[in-house]
Amino acid sequence: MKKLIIATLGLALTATFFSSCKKWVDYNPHEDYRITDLDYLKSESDYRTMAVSVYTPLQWRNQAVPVGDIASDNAVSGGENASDVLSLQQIDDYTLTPVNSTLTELWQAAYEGINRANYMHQYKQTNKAGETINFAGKDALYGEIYFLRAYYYFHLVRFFGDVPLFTDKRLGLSESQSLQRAPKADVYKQIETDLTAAIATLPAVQVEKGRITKYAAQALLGKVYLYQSKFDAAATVLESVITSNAFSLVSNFSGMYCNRRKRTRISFEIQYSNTSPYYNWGGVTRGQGNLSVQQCGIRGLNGSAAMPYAAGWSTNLPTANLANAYAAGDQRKAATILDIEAYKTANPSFGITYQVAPFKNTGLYNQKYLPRKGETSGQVELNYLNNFRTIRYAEVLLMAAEAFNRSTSPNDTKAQGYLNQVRQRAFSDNLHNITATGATLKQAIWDERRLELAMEGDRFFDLVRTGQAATKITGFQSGKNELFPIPQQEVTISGLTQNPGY
Amino acid sequence: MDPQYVGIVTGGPSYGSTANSNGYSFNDVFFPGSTVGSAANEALRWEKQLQVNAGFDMTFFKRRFSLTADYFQKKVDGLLFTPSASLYLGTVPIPTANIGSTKSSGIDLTLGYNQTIGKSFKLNTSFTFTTAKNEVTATNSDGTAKILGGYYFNGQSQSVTVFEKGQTPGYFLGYKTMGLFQNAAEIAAAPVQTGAVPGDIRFVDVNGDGVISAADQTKIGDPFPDFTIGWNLGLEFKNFDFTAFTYASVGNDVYSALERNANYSNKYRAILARWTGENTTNDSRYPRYSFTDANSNIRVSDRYVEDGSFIKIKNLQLGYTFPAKMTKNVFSRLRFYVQVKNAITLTKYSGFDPEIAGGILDSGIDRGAYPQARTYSVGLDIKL
Repeated sequence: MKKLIIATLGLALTATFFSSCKKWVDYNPHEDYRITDLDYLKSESDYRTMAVSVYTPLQWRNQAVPVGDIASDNAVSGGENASDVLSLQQIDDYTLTPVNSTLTELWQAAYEGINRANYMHQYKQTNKAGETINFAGKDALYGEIYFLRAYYYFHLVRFFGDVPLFTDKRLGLSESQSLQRAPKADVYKQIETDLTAAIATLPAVQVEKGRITKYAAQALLGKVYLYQSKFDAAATVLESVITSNAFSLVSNFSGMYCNRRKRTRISFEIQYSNTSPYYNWGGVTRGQGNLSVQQCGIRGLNGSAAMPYAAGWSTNLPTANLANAYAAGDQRKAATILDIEAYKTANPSFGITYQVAPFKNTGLYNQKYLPRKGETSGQVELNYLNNFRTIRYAEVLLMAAEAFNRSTSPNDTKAQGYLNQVRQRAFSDNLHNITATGATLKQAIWDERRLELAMEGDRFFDLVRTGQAATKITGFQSGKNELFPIPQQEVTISGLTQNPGY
Repeated sequence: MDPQYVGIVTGGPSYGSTANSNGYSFNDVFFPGSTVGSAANEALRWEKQLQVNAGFDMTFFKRRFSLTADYFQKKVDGLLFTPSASLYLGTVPIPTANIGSTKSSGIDLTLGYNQTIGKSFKLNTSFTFTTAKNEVTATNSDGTAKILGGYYFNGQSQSVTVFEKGQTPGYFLGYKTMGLFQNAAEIAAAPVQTGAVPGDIRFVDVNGDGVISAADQTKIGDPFPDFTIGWNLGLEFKNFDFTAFTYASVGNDVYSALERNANYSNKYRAILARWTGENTTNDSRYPRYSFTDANSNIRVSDRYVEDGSFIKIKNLQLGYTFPAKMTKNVFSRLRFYVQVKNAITLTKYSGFDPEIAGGILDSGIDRGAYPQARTYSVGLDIKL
């Protein structure tokens, strides 16, 4: 009965070990890179070239400006439909979640700027090879770097509140997941330290226009003080910009946005250019052009050769609420807002045709940054040359006015004087001067900031800073929406805490 | 890698390349910049694989039956992959790293049967059964690292899969759903879910804190099958031969990342079954349709997870070999056959094809993978 025959019974045990005799992988970065960090920062030119790249993420953070208005009562997201520019729609509608591609980009690009500045800081005294490279103007160059680091941290703290804070070096992979969020007060303290260092070394005038000057650093420091309600300190530093007499207001408000005359009376602009045409749709903010200009243009716009504007994507549309805030005779209204129907009617010779904004139409467009013919190159959407007017002299005056009005011993005469300089330009007369004092004057200054700086990316943060956000912004929840959510990846991967309510 | 050592990139704007531009324009004059172009991984080492097989082969019943059984265990130590890193490191590309260790263990059983009946009928057939358990056994030193993957776009970039200690590699992480809100009273009684209106998906408050937030995300699927079965069948009758191969996968989940979710775009017919009013449906796959989505019904959730189990007849072939006496003057053998590849797929999966190949964090993510083609062929085997 031996029906079951075991023919074979084998036991196989195989063990394979794929391993090299060395524990670590040999890799020489020269295989991939001509220059490594040991070969670099060996000359003045190396230092200066690397300092340029600390500026670059300013351009990448292009969407910070539209976000500052879309999140406020100044503008709506617009776009083609509810699923177009979804990350901006969610910011506009106050339905935003921690998964928001625009906010993630703003976060990451700011930290790239910080890491770049930190790397320069790390090798300021000696380079990686241990050599000291001295050259004339090195301290002034580091003034630019410290300004930029302060600017990036200021943006982070305004958007996100408490954020990871590090200044000693560029972080490497081993420092991933190693940090927690530092209190906002510590971040502000570091910003003040950096700006103070920058002010001490920066020149009043730079050979290359667009580089950071001492005045830009003083103006930013004044703004940083205002955000912390340090009005006395703000008044001092802002007045030093004013009394330098380096600046005056351009008499014609709209002329300031004429791109042929860039950066004349401006203390800090984020630079864009159409001289290096770029066409990578995989990274639309990574070239030298200003994407937000294309975004805010009028859809399907056509007209005669003499008609100055170019078509765009009907995003970041000014609201009627903003348009109605301007008093009659205020020349800033026309320079800030273009009512396309009115413009078409007023200029029949242009033969204008256009597509009504298909989503959240207001009929109004962002005149300060509207795409204009001849101001781009190459892939037209990606190469507009318009600089962002980040800190203007008018804002310095308005910040000084607020600082003097809110100082421990207020000086409302001074505050009125600075405020009225701005108003006199706006109305081209003295009839609209403000004579109020105290809290009424304070509100007048705040209102003036909106009118003067509309569509420049500051409104949302002003409303939060001045405690007006909940009453002015539809959908704004107090205790939650003062801050944007920390990107979900930083919560999941890095273990950072989320802001309340998200 | 030498930790002292990273690459520097210099140069002008990148004309359409994927590299970032590192320069800046001052007053319309471009200045080239330079920056760190690669991040060093100070502890990169080789991946180690250790595979152990133990098994036996046997035949019985006059060698008509054969059985092969194998237990296998494969350990990968220091799996090489691009990790997820903190965004505050900036934008320098993250280098490959040893992200962790995985273990898969399971059994392979093959049962074969062959018999010749009479003079002219031959049968041989075999079943292969495989089951395996896959687990991440280690990540970083304290085991807290998570690597995200399976990215897709449905209006925004979303991540589905996670590589995490103690879990299946690349399991699906998202929200659990429990039907739809039918009316305002249900919303008021439920945990706080910002933006919800009747007809929206009701998400599960997994951590019980009374608020639906990112902390409620949990495991919603697993791309690995519970088991797979392969069945080979071979028949010969006189000059005819027939072979078939059938393959089945049971218990593998698919994340359907097909839909673009754009307004004014085509939708699947299933949208006809959507929620249109109280008690029309409570199926969380079919919430109300709206252009705006304050509830974020499109977030990563189990509404997109489907059972991807399938049975596929992968190959059918029928052949006829001409009698040797007919062809011996010209050919030593002449065989004519017809064949169908990917003949039939039986599945409940709603997409094109539930069999989705992908790397460690892309398995089971169906971004609209092109289905395997069904091919018919007719051929001649000629031996001279």
